[in-house]
Amino acid sequence: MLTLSFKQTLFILLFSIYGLALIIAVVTLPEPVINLPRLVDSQLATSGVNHPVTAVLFNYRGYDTLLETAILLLTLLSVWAVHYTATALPKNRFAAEFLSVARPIRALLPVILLTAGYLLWIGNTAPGGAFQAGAVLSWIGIGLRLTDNLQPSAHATVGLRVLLGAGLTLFIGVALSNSLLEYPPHSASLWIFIIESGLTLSFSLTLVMLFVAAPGMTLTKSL
Amino acid sequence: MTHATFFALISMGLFLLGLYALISYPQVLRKILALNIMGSGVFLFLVTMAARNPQALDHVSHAMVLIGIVMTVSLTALALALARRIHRITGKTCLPEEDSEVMS
Repeated sequence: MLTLSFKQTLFILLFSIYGLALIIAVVTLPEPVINLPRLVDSQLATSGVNHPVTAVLFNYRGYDTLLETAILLLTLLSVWAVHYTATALPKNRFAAEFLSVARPIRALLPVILLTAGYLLWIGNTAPGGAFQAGAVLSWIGIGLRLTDNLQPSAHATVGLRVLLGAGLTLFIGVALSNSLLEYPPHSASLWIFIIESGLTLSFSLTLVMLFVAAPGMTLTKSL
Repeated sequence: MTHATFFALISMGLFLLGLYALISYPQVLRKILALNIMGSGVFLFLVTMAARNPQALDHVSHAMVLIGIVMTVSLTALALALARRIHRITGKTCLPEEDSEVMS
Protein backbone atom coordinates (compact mmCIF):
# COMPACT_ATOMS: atom_id res chain seq x y z
CA MET A 1 0.00 0.00 0.00
CA LEU A 2 1.63 3.26 -1.06
CA THR A 3 1.54 6.25 1.24
CA LEU A 4 0.50 9.58 -0.22
CA SER A 5 1.62 12.94 1.05
CA PHE A 6 -0.85 15.68 1.94
CA LYS A 7 -0.26 17.45 -1.35
CA GLN A 8 -0.88 14.28 -3.32
CA THR A 9 -4.14 13.51 -1.52
CA LEU A 10 -5.28 17.10 -2.01
CA PHE A 11 -4.47 16.88 -5.70
CA ILE A 12 -6.35 13.60 -6.17
CA LEU A 13 -9.34 14.92 -4.21
CA LEU A 14 -9.62 18.19 -6.12
CA PHE A 15 -9.03 16.44 -9.43
CA SER A 16 -11.78 13.91 -8.72
CA ILE A 17 -14.23 16.63 -7.70
CA TYR A 18 -13.43 18.59 -10.85
CA GLY A 19 -13.70 15.48 -13.04
CA LEU A 20 -17.04 14.52 -11.53
CA ALA A 21 -18.43 18.02 -11.96
CA LEU A 22 -17.25 18.07 -15.59
CA ILE A 23 -18.84 14.69 -16.37
CA ILE A 24 -22.12 15.69 -14.73
CA ALA A 25 -22.15 18.96 -16.66
CA VAL A 26 -21.53 17.15 -19.94
CA VAL A 27 -24.14 14.45 -19.38
CA THR A 28 -26.87 16.89 -18.34
CA LEU A 29 -26.26 19.33 -21.19
CA PRO A 30 -29.53 21.04 -22.20
CA GLU A 31 -30.82 21.21 -25.77
CA PRO A 32 -29.71 24.25 -27.79
CA VAL A 33 -32.05 27.23 -27.86
CA ILE A 34 -31.08 28.53 -31.31
CA ASN A 35 -31.44 26.09 -34.21
CA LEU A 36 -28.04 26.74 -35.79
CA PRO A 37 -28.25 24.14 -38.60
CA ARG A 38 -31.44 25.75 -39.89
CA LEU A 39 -29.81 29.20 -39.82
CA VAL A 40 -26.72 27.94 -41.65
CA ASP A 41 -28.69 26.17 -44.36
CA SER A 42 -31.16 28.99 -44.94
CA GLN A 43 -28.45 31.51 -45.86
CA LEU A 44 -26.12 29.11 -47.70
CA ALA A 45 -27.24 30.26 -51.16
CA THR A 46 -26.13 33.85 -50.53
CA SER A 47 -22.93 33.01 -48.68
CA GLY A 48 -20.77 32.54 -51.79
CA VAL A 49 -19.78 28.90 -51.25
CA ASN A 50 -21.70 25.66 -51.51
CA HIS A 51 -20.27 23.85 -48.50
CA PRO A 52 -21.67 24.74 -45.06
CA VAL A 53 -18.37 24.35 -43.15
CA THR A 54 -16.49 26.64 -45.57
CA ALA A 55 -19.37 29.11 -45.38
CA VAL A 56 -19.18 29.11 -41.59
CA LEU A 57 -15.38 29.49 -41.62
CA PHE A 58 -15.12 32.35 -44.10
CA ASN A 59 -18.50 34.04 -44.07
CA TYR A 60 -20.60 33.51 -40.96
CA ARG A 61 -17.66 33.24 -38.54
CA GLY A 62 -15.13 35.07 -40.68
CA TYR A 63 -13.84 36.98 -37.66
CA ASP A 64 -12.71 33.79 -36.00
CA THR A 65 -10.65 32.88 -39.05
CA LEU A 66 -9.22 36.39 -39.20
CA LEU A 67 -8.14 36.33 -35.57
CA GLU A 68 -6.83 32.80 -36.01
CA THR A 69 -4.55 34.02 -38.81
CA ALA A 70 -3.34 36.79 -36.54
CA ILE A 71 -2.63 34.26 -33.78
CA LEU A 72 -0.58 32.15 -36.21
CA LEU A 73 1.56 35.17 -37.07
CA LEU A 74 1.87 36.01 -33.38
CA THR A 75 3.02 32.47 -32.63
CA LEU A 76 5.67 32.73 -35.32
CA LEU A 77 6.85 36.04 -33.86
CA SER A 78 6.99 34.42 -30.41
CA VAL A 79 9.09 31.53 -31.75
CA TRP A 80 11.39 34.08 -33.37
CA ALA A 81 11.62 35.95 -30.07
CA VAL A 82 12.58 32.76 -28.25
CA HIS A 83 15.33 32.02 -30.75
CA TYR A 84 16.62 35.56 -31.25
CA THR A 85 17.97 35.46 -27.69
CA ALA A 86 19.92 32.32 -28.50
CA THR A 87 23.61 32.78 -29.04
CA ALA A 88 24.01 30.39 -31.93
CA LEU A 89 21.81 28.90 -34.61
CA PRO A 90 20.82 25.27 -34.15
CA LYS A 91 23.19 23.17 -36.19
CA ASN A 92 20.69 20.62 -37.32
CA ARG A 93 21.85 17.98 -39.67
CA PHE A 94 19.21 15.37 -40.05
CA ALA A 95 20.30 11.78 -40.03
CA ALA A 96 21.20 10.06 -43.27
CA GLU A 97 18.18 7.79 -42.91
CA PHE A 98 16.00 10.82 -43.56
CA LEU A 99 17.53 11.33 -46.97
CA SER A 100 16.21 8.02 -48.29
CA VAL A 101 12.71 8.98 -47.18
CA ALA A 102 12.84 12.63 -48.10
CA ARG A 103 14.15 12.34 -51.64
CA PRO A 104 10.83 10.96 -52.91
CA ILE A 105 9.18 14.06 -51.45
CA ARG A 106 11.19 16.17 -53.86
CA ALA A 107 10.05 13.95 -56.72
CA LEU A 108 6.47 14.35 -55.53
CA LEU A 109 6.66 18.14 -55.68
CA PRO A 110 4.29 18.53 -58.66
CA VAL A 111 1.81 16.16 -57.02
CA ILE A 112 1.94 18.19 -53.81
CA LEU A 113 1.30 21.40 -55.74
CA LEU A 114 -1.59 19.81 -57.60
CA THR A 115 -3.15 18.39 -54.43
CA ALA A 116 -2.87 21.73 -52.67
CA GLY A 117 -4.46 23.54 -55.60
CA TYR A 118 -7.23 20.95 -55.78
CA LEU A 119 -7.95 21.21 -52.03
CA LEU A 120 -8.06 24.99 -52.29
CA TRP A 121 -10.51 24.91 -55.20
CA ILE A 122 -12.74 22.14 -53.92
CA GLY A 123 -13.26 23.98 -50.63
CA ASN A 124 -16.22 25.59 -52.32
CA THR A 125 -18.25 22.39 -52.60
CA ALA A 126 -16.57 19.78 -50.41
CA PRO A 127 -14.39 19.67 -47.28
CA GLY A 128 -11.24 21.56 -48.14
CA GLY A 129 -10.22 25.17 -48.30
CA ALA A 130 -7.30 27.31 -47.30
CA PHE A 131 -5.99 25.52 -44.21
CA GLN A 132 -6.02 22.05 -45.67
CA ALA A 133 -4.33 23.27 -48.87
CA GLY A 134 -1.76 25.23 -46.86
CA ALA A 135 -0.93 22.19 -44.75
CA VAL A 136 -0.35 20.06 -47.87
CA LEU A 137 1.73 22.84 -49.44
CA SER A 138 3.94 22.97 -46.37
CA TRP A 139 5.10 19.41 -47.10
CA ILE A 140 7.33 20.92 -49.78
CA GLY A 141 9.14 23.02 -47.22
CA ILE A 142 9.38 20.17 -44.72
CA GLY A 143 10.74 17.81 -47.38
CA LEU A 144 13.34 20.41 -48.36
CA ARG A 145 14.26 20.86 -44.70
CA LEU A 146 14.70 17.14 -44.14
CA THR A 147 17.12 16.86 -47.08
CA ASP A 148 19.08 19.87 -45.73
CA ASN A 149 18.14 21.95 -48.75
CA LEU A 150 16.49 24.45 -46.43
CA GLN A 151 18.79 25.72 -43.75
CA PRO A 152 18.00 27.99 -40.81
CA SER A 153 19.54 31.42 -41.08
CA ALA A 154 19.93 34.28 -38.65
CA HIS A 155 17.86 36.81 -40.51
CA ALA A 156 14.64 36.60 -42.51
CA THR A 157 14.69 38.33 -45.88
CA VAL A 158 12.16 41.03 -46.67
CA GLY A 159 10.48 38.85 -49.28
CA LEU A 160 9.91 36.10 -46.75
CA ARG A 161 8.40 38.51 -44.26
CA VAL A 162 6.14 40.01 -46.91
CA LEU A 163 4.88 36.57 -47.92
CA LEU A 164 4.35 35.56 -44.29
CA GLY A 165 2.21 38.59 -43.60
CA ALA A 166 0.44 38.60 -46.96
CA GLY A 167 -2.39 36.31 -45.87
CA LEU A 168 -3.33 38.37 -42.87
CA THR A 169 -2.93 41.66 -44.76
CA LEU A 170 -5.12 40.42 -47.60
CA PHE A 171 -7.73 39.21 -45.15
CA ILE A 172 -7.80 42.54 -43.30
CA GLY A 173 -7.93 44.40 -46.62
CA VAL A 174 -10.91 42.37 -47.81
CA ALA A 175 -12.58 42.78 -44.42
CA LEU A 176 -12.16 46.56 -44.45
CA SER A 177 -13.28 46.99 -48.05
CA ASN A 178 -16.42 44.95 -47.43
CA SER A 179 -17.66 46.86 -44.39
CA LEU A 180 -16.17 44.31 -41.97
CA LEU A 181 -16.76 40.99 -43.72
CA GLU A 182 -20.32 41.54 -44.97
CA TYR A 183 -19.88 40.36 -48.52
CA PRO A 184 -22.45 41.40 -51.13
CA PRO A 185 -24.02 38.13 -52.36
CA HIS A 186 -22.98 38.46 -56.02
CA SER A 187 -19.23 38.81 -55.31
CA ALA A 188 -18.99 36.81 -52.09
CA SER A 189 -17.35 33.77 -53.73
CA LEU A 190 -14.69 35.98 -55.37
CA TRP A 191 -13.76 37.66 -52.08
CA ILE A 192 -13.65 34.33 -50.28
CA PHE A 193 -11.39 32.88 -52.98
CA ILE A 194 -9.03 35.87 -52.71
CA ILE A 195 -8.84 35.40 -48.95
CA GLU A 196 -8.28 31.66 -49.25
CA SER A 197 -5.48 32.00 -51.81
CA GLY A 198 -3.50 34.46 -49.71
CA LEU A 199 -4.16 32.38 -46.61
CA THR A 200 -2.89 29.18 -48.26
CA LEU A 201 0.42 30.76 -49.20
CA SER A 202 1.18 32.41 -45.89
CA PHE A 203 -0.19 29.51 -43.83
CA SER A 204 2.14 27.04 -45.55
CA LEU A 205 5.10 29.41 -45.14
CA THR A 206 4.21 29.90 -41.46
CA LEU A 207 4.10 26.15 -40.90
CA VAL A 208 7.50 25.66 -42.55
CA MET A 209 8.97 28.53 -40.51
CA LEU A 210 7.56 27.00 -37.33
CA PHE A 211 9.21 23.72 -38.32
CA VAL A 212 12.56 25.36 -39.11
CA ALA A 213 12.23 27.35 -35.84
CA ALA A 214 14.91 29.90 -36.69
CA PRO A 215 14.73 33.61 -37.45
CA GLY A 216 14.99 32.92 -41.18
CA MET A 217 15.60 30.21 -43.73
CA THR A 218 17.63 29.91 -46.93
CA LEU A 219 17.69 27.43 -49.77
CA THR A 220 21.17 26.03 -50.02
CA LYS A 221 21.59 23.40 -52.70
CA SER A 222 19.70 23.54 -55.95
CA LEU A 223 16.64 21.37 -56.38
CA MET B 1 -27.09 5.57 -22.97
CA THR B 2 -27.37 7.47 -26.23
CA HIS B 3 -24.57 7.82 -28.77
CA ALA B 4 -24.05 11.43 -27.86
CA THR B 5 -23.72 10.73 -24.14
CA PHE B 6 -21.27 7.88 -24.74
CA PHE B 7 -18.95 9.95 -26.92
CA ALA B 8 -19.27 12.96 -24.64
CA LEU B 9 -18.09 10.82 -21.71
CA ILE B 10 -15.19 9.47 -23.77
CA SER B 11 -14.17 12.98 -24.77
CA MET B 12 -14.26 14.19 -21.18
CA GLY B 13 -12.25 11.12 -20.19
CA LEU B 14 -9.58 12.14 -22.73
CA PHE B 15 -9.64 15.68 -21.39
CA LEU B 16 -9.23 14.56 -17.79
CA LEU B 17 -6.47 12.12 -18.76
CA GLY B 18 -4.58 14.94 -20.45
CA LEU B 19 -5.16 17.26 -17.52
CA TYR B 20 -3.85 14.70 -15.06
CA ALA B 21 -0.74 14.12 -17.15
CA LEU B 22 -0.23 17.86 -17.58
CA ILE B 23 -0.18 18.45 -13.85
CA SER B 24 1.69 15.44 -12.58
CA TYR B 25 4.73 15.02 -14.84
CA PRO B 26 7.72 17.36 -14.76
CA GLN B 27 8.96 16.39 -18.23
CA VAL B 28 8.20 19.10 -20.75
CA LEU B 29 7.48 16.79 -23.67
CA ARG B 30 4.90 14.91 -21.64
CA LYS B 31 3.18 18.18 -20.84
CA ILE B 32 3.07 19.10 -24.52
CA LEU B 33 1.61 15.70 -25.42
CA ALA B 34 -0.89 16.04 -22.58
CA LEU B 35 -2.02 19.41 -23.95
CA ASN B 36 -2.54 17.81 -27.36
CA ILE B 37 -4.62 15.02 -25.84
CA MET B 38 -6.73 17.58 -23.99
CA GLY B 39 -7.27 19.36 -27.29
CA SER B 40 -8.33 16.11 -28.96
CA GLY B 41 -10.81 15.52 -26.15
CA VAL B 42 -12.33 18.94 -26.67
CA PHE B 43 -12.55 18.39 -30.43
CA LEU B 44 -14.29 15.07 -29.94
CA PHE B 45 -16.74 16.77 -27.60
CA LEU B 46 -17.47 19.53 -30.12
CA VAL B 47 -18.05 17.05 -32.93
CA THR B 48 -20.29 14.93 -30.69
CA MET B 49 -22.37 17.96 -29.80
CA ALA B 50 -22.59 18.82 -33.49
CA ALA B 51 -24.08 15.40 -34.23
CA ARG B 52 -26.68 15.39 -31.46
CA ASN B 53 -29.37 15.53 -34.14
CA PRO B 54 -28.10 13.24 -36.93
CA GLN B 55 -30.45 14.73 -39.51
CA ALA B 56 -29.31 18.31 -38.97
CA LEU B 57 -25.56 18.49 -38.25
CA ASP B 58 -24.28 21.64 -36.62
CA HIS B 59 -21.56 22.90 -38.95
CA VAL B 60 -20.55 25.82 -36.74
CA SER B 61 -19.00 23.36 -34.29
CA HIS B 62 -17.12 21.71 -37.16
CA ALA B 63 -15.60 25.05 -38.13
CA MET B 64 -14.65 25.64 -34.49
CA VAL B 65 -12.85 22.30 -34.46
CA LEU B 66 -10.94 23.22 -37.64
CA ILE B 67 -9.82 26.49 -36.10
CA GLY B 68 -8.96 24.62 -32.90
CA ILE B 69 -6.75 22.16 -34.76
CA VAL B 70 -4.74 25.00 -36.29
CA MET B 71 -4.44 26.60 -32.87
CA THR B 72 -3.19 23.30 -31.41
CA VAL B 73 -0.50 23.18 -34.09
CA SER B 74 0.69 26.68 -33.26
CA LEU B 75 0.53 25.92 -29.52
CA THR B 76 2.67 22.82 -30.00
CA ALA B 77 5.16 24.74 -32.11
CA LEU B 78 5.62 27.51 -29.53
CA ALA B 79 5.76 25.00 -26.65
CA LEU B 80 8.44 22.99 -28.47
CA ALA B 81 10.46 26.14 -29.12
CA LEU B 82 10.29 26.95 -25.40
CA ALA B 83 11.24 23.34 -24.59
CA ARG B 84 14.33 23.64 -26.78
CA ARG B 85 15.20 26.90 -25.01
CA ILE B 86 14.83 25.19 -21.62
CA HIS B 87 17.11 22.41 -22.80
CA ARG B 88 19.65 24.90 -24.08
CA ILE B 89 19.70 26.78 -20.76
CA THR B 90 19.46 23.98 -18.21
CA GLY B 91 20.65 20.98 -20.17
CA LYS B 92 17.61 18.95 -19.04
CA THR B 93 14.16 18.39 -20.46
CA CYS B 94 12.39 18.46 -17.10
CA LEU B 95 10.99 21.47 -15.37
CA PRO B 96 12.88 22.30 -12.20
CA GLU B 97 11.30 20.51 -9.25
CA GLU B 98 10.68 21.87 -5.80
CA ASP B 99 11.37 19.93 -2.63
CA SER B 100 7.86 18.54 -2.38
CA GLU B 101 6.63 17.67 -5.83
CA VAL B 102 3.07 16.63 -6.40
CA MET B 103 3.70 13.28 -8.02
CA SER B 104 7.09 11.64 -8.26
